[in-house]
Amino acid sequence: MKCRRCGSFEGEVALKRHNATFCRNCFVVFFRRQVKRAISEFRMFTPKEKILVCVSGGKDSLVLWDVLLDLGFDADGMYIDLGIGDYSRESREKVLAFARLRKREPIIVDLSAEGMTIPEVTARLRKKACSLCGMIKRHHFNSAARKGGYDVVATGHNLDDEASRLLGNIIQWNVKYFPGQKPVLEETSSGMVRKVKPLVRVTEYETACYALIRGIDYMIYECPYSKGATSLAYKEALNMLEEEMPGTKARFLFGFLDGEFFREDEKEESEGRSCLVCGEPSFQEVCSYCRLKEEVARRSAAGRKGA
Amino acid sequence: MIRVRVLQEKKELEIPGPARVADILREIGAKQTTTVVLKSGVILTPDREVEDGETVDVLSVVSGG
Ligand code: SF4
Ligand SMILES: [Zn+2]
Ligand SMILES: [Zn+2]
Repeated sequence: MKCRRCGSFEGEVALKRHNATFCRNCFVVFFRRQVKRAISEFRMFTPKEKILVCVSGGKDSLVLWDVLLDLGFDADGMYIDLGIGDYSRESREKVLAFARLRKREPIIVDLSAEGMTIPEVTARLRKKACSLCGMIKRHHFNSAARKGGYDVVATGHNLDDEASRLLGNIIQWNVKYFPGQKPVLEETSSGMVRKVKPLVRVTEYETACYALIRGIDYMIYECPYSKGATSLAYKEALNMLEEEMPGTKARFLFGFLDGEFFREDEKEESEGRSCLVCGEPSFQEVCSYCRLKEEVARRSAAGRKGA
Repeated sequence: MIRVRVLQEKKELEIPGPARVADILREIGAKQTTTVVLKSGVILTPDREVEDGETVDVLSVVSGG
């Protein structure tokens, strides 16, 4: 198929939702423009600000880091080693290899150093791995951003992630989570750093194509805990509609983001104080991360005594 | 036969060639919106024809969690 932009006959990426096919070079231009557009239209950050990119070794976060560097932004990557067997080992290698290629030094946080790997934590507390993992990651990214003087934390959430999360929130009528879907969450006086999602305008398919064309070697296997995640069912449902009606996912998400669905009085609940232990923003005297850590330590001590 | 390597599942299938990429995807039950098909590292659009005897790689783009 012919490239819409340059007319060459080496079209590689067909995007039905844009009614266009691009050759590899023009696709790279197109993709970067979409990211740039999201950054400016949602006022995510400026070229003067320092950005901390949460990298997992998967396609989205590595592509995000790559694009931000190519657009000339001051972006550092941070990887949290969750200690999930081969999955974590391989992901970490992908991050380190990418960073070496781009001549950047990533920040690495190793959860095993504090006895807080996901397998350890879930063995002590019978709670869902992903909700604990999400909380642990949020804590470390925010804390590292504050300590490192970063203005903003960027994550690789793409159009599919955001649309499926919205579908989930609507199906469960979790109206209170609507404000959290904004592509920019402003910093709070209590110390939450600004959070942004610069890939919100690009789909998973586009992100994967970008990674493949740019030769970014990413982790193609999923975390073992993601099996059966409800978000996958929502993604599947949206993709069924997308096959029949190209552009559905984007209309669904942007109709929401551009609409009047956030009430002003529904300001996000912000953590009002600082944790007595770690100083991070918290609802209570001690933050949920430090309480979790204490609980894990207590139970493993009890486990040793009982053994 | 066309050799289809389904990368994430570490499995290989064979389907009769020649065939269009869109037909290969239908044959293996994958969606165009969520699957990249590559031949020697080059991405193929759904209208491209794959010859008998060639090998393609299939990569799902859906990430979970
Ligand atoms: S799937 Fe769950 S446990 Fe695995 S990295 Fe994602 S949030 Fe963490
Ligand atoms: Zn072109
Ligand atoms: Zn704390």
